[in-house]
Amino acid sequence: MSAAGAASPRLPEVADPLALPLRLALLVLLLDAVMPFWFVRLPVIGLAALGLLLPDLLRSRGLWAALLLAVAWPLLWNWPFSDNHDYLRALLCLAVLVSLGARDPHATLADAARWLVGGVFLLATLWKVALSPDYLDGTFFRVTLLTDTRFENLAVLAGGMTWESWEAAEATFRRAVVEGVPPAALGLEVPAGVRRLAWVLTLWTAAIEAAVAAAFLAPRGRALSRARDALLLAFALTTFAFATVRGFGWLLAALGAAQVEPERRRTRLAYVGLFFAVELYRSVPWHQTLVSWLGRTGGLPG
Amino acid sequence: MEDGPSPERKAGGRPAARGDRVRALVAPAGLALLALLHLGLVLGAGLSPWNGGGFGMFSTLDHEGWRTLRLAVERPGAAEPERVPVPPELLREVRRAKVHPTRPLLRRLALRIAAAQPEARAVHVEVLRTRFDPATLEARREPLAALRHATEAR
Repeated sequence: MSAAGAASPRLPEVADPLALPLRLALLVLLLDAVMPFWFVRLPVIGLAALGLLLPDLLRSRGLWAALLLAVAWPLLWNWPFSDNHDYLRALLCLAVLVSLGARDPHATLADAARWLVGGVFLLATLWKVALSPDYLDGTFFRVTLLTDTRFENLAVLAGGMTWESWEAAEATFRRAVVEGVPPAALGLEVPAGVRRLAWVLTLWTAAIEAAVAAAFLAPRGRALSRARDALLLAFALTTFAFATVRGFGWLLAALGAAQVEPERRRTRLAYVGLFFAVELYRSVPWHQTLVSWLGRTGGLPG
Repeated sequence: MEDGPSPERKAGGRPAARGDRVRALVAPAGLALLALLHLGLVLGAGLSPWNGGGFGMFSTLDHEGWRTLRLAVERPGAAEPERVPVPPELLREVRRAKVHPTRPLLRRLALRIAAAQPEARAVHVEVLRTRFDPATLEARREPLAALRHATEAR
């Protein structure tokens, strides 16, 4: 009990609205330092570890300036190979660095995080619905579901395929590309289940990304803004089950935790849960288990 | 530790101090600049939308996996340029040129090939992307960038 007589909060680390997202961010930097060269990786790992181990460094502008440098210079040196979330990682470090010099660091970081999430999803939506020549007509997902190994599990689980038929389809499709003929000329018809799944993914992904963008960019207090955490968590929990881009999922967890109002502890905890869910999705072979449980009939009825 | 909004915070959660509100825009402004740069490079320099920080991943099939880089050399007496395989030591440069086929990158590649093919009169470097017919999924290769580098007379 404090001197004022109020009970101390349980899980005080969750109650601290600034420390938790900073620690999440450091965990992301530590665990997702999947960088191609040791001289790129080691400084990030070392600095992130120091920030986690030494409490006084957590809010040190020096530490976050060093982290920003360590994650930003490879973006130039490794041009153009860095993934999108590598850029977001650098922007998060910049947001933290700048916020730590503010009068109200948490409110400043919360604002920055909200704009960053909204901006990222706005860009993703614009690319899909306005700039890409092959997204809205379903071509992207029809080809991707048959050729991208990251979507093989989804094609089997929800597209009516089997592991064997997927591998055969992938090989035939690539042969068709090399020979410059339609896949049908080599006997490959896109399964009906995959066609339906492609449409569902096309529409769902565009819609949820647009919704997240709108919710995070809407003025606070509006109903749409109040739905932003539910929308972001829905996006993350459905997307990263199959597209296991761990770094991006973890960064969304850190940014999400950073922009939650201080009094909403459960929502902050939900983002911690998201952090673990992303890794569970990646580590646990639940797709294969589910397909076996479904009796190896090629997944859900297509 | 804090367990509620700070007194400095405006209603609605935004920082009250104007300086703080400006600070909050620094990183998002960085994102906006990056997005503009990315769009410019995609439209003007053939950068793949999947690369460069513009968040165009998973929106298009125009990525490294569906781009092709072809190398060919003109030899004395040969009617047509002859395709040559990518030397293993140039794989990273080839990948870079596929994703962002600028003239300097293509020229650098051509010079490296020319050095390895001393009898060549010229080196051709061509980057193509794959477009898929929406109805039949038939693939069509579309030229994105090309360079012919004439070697010095030997």
